[in-house]
Amino acid sequence: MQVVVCIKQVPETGAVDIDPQRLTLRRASAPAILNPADAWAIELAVRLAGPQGATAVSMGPPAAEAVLREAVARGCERAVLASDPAFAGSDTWATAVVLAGVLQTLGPVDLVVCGRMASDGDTAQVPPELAALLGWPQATEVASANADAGHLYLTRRVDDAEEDLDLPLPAVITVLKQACVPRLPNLPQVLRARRCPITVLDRAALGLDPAACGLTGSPTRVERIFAPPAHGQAQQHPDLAALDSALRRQGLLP
Amino acid sequence: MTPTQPPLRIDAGRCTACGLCLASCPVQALALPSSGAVQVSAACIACGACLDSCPEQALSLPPGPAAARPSAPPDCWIWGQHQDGRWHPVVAELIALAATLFPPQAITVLAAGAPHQATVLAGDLGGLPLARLLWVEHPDLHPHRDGAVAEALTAVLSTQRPAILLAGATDRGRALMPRLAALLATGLTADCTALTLDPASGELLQTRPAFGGNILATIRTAQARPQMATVRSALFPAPSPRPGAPAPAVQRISAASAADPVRLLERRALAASAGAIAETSIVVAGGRGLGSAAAFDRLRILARRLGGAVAASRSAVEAGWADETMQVGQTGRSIHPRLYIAIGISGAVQHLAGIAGAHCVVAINHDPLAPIIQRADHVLIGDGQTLVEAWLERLPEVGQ
Repeated sequence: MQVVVCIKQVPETGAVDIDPQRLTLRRASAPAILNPADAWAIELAVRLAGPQGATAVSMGPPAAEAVLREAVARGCERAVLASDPAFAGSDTWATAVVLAGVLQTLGPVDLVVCGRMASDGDTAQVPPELAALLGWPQATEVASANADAGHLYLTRRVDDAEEDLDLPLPAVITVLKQACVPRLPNLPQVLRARRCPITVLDRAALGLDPAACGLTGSPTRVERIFAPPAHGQAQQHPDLAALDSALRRQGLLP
Repeated sequence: MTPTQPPLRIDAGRCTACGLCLASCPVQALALPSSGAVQVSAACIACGACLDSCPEQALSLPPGPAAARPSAPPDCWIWGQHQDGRWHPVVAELIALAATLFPPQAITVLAAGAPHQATVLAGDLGGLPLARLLWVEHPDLHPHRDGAVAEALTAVLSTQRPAILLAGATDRGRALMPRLAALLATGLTADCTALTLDPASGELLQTRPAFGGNILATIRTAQARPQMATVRSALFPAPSPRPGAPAPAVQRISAASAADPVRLLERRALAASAGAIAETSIVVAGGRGLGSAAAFDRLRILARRLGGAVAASRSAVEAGWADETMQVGQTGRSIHPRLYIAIGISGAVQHLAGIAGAHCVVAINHDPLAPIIQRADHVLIGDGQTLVEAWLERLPEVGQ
């Protein structure tokens, strides 16, 4: 089965810097890591791909190559990076357009696996947007999945319920931690990842209109980025009775 | 394409010069020359109103942000999430939120479902400040058919293009709305905690946390319409529907199809505590400081008597006292209750990231230097297990 895993390089939480002119996140200033949730997506993709091997795809600056090498060290066969200065400032829609473009260069793909959410944007929007642009069905928050004869049989979490679905392929899914246990890279895989060639595709190679890319192509604009209001001093209570009545006074407890 | 050329594309090979599109154009940008195909002038606002008027499908707009412009007058639509014949509580919350920005006549609930459900569900919106329920119907349009629901709603939204479309940031809302946004080629802001209107432009200013709540960003959807946002539930108090109050008008639109390649094999409701922590207004969470599985079980009773849901720190989950679905934090769930009571939880930065949206945090901990104390609004220093017992003694028994 041809499986693609879409991954993202993110700044480590707590180390964030903002470009004051462009009002976008200056990712170069923070230590960059593989988005934590993507480890589960990589593992599930590698397992479902079987002997054909999974392909890791990312969009980002040239340095995002690092997370693709990590994906290879974690079992992926191939890696593709969509990278072009024109992609800078992409919102989720513009990102999905680029990833859909990459998918079209890969030949027939059966399944796209993504992490549940990226730890920087926290939006979880790119996978369903990608599914819509490809015209494929989707399932988010997948807790377990097995492939059989062109179908994916899966369990997904949705609000206060679980649903077992029969998803005809090709399709796009996002993965919960319950779905698998990510393997740790072993030494031969790390060495292979270091040598593995990474295909880099720019805007022209993907045949994308500059007006549909990056900041220009993004329907949303960041108006303002600011720190949450500072947290006030906590109220100390001598005993439970004092705490309980304070919460009731504030209407927080019935 | 040069920037001055209007984005509307006219396929001269298909155009029969019938003139039907001329009447559909709100800005008189289309003209029929004495011979040849229809022509478009620079007055075109790319609203798309003409596309469906053409029997030959000779008119098209390129996909992308330029494809849609503001509709007027401004209106606010809310996606009506429902399951098993009941609205999700976030629908009433969003109606109340919309009513702070728009008059009731501008507020529409858009929902998809079977024809027989519309009247009862409209009744359940009785007394709320909205003008109508726009019901996209088909006998087989079940809520779980995400693909079919997305297609049916897109068909309506792409012709009507309201100024704003809001949805609850529930699991289903966050699966469906990006799909709609991509099909409509418009912007979507996830998980908003505040919405206001720009006094100058009337555009929707959408504020949301990012980086685990370390920053807030205000987002604007400059040109594309609708301006779409998902909004956290339990942030705004929901108005109670008034039984017997007049229901909003129901406007029915037939969906062309409810076909969905995805098949639902089985649906299981989860125990309330497992699914509910992301959407409950009171959450009681326990950590390693409780000391034992037995003490954690007492915490479950405390949560129930306080009318809240149970959550757990990563350590409590790893100790096997609580299920993984109850874990709060960066690798668990992000929650935003009105009241978060953390008992025996030290508050590692990963845990605090998961409660960044909590309105009020109570920390009960033996360690006055624990990081959770810095984040808390109310602090009680003491042994977690002892204080759970003391609190249980203060609270009367309630039914299961």
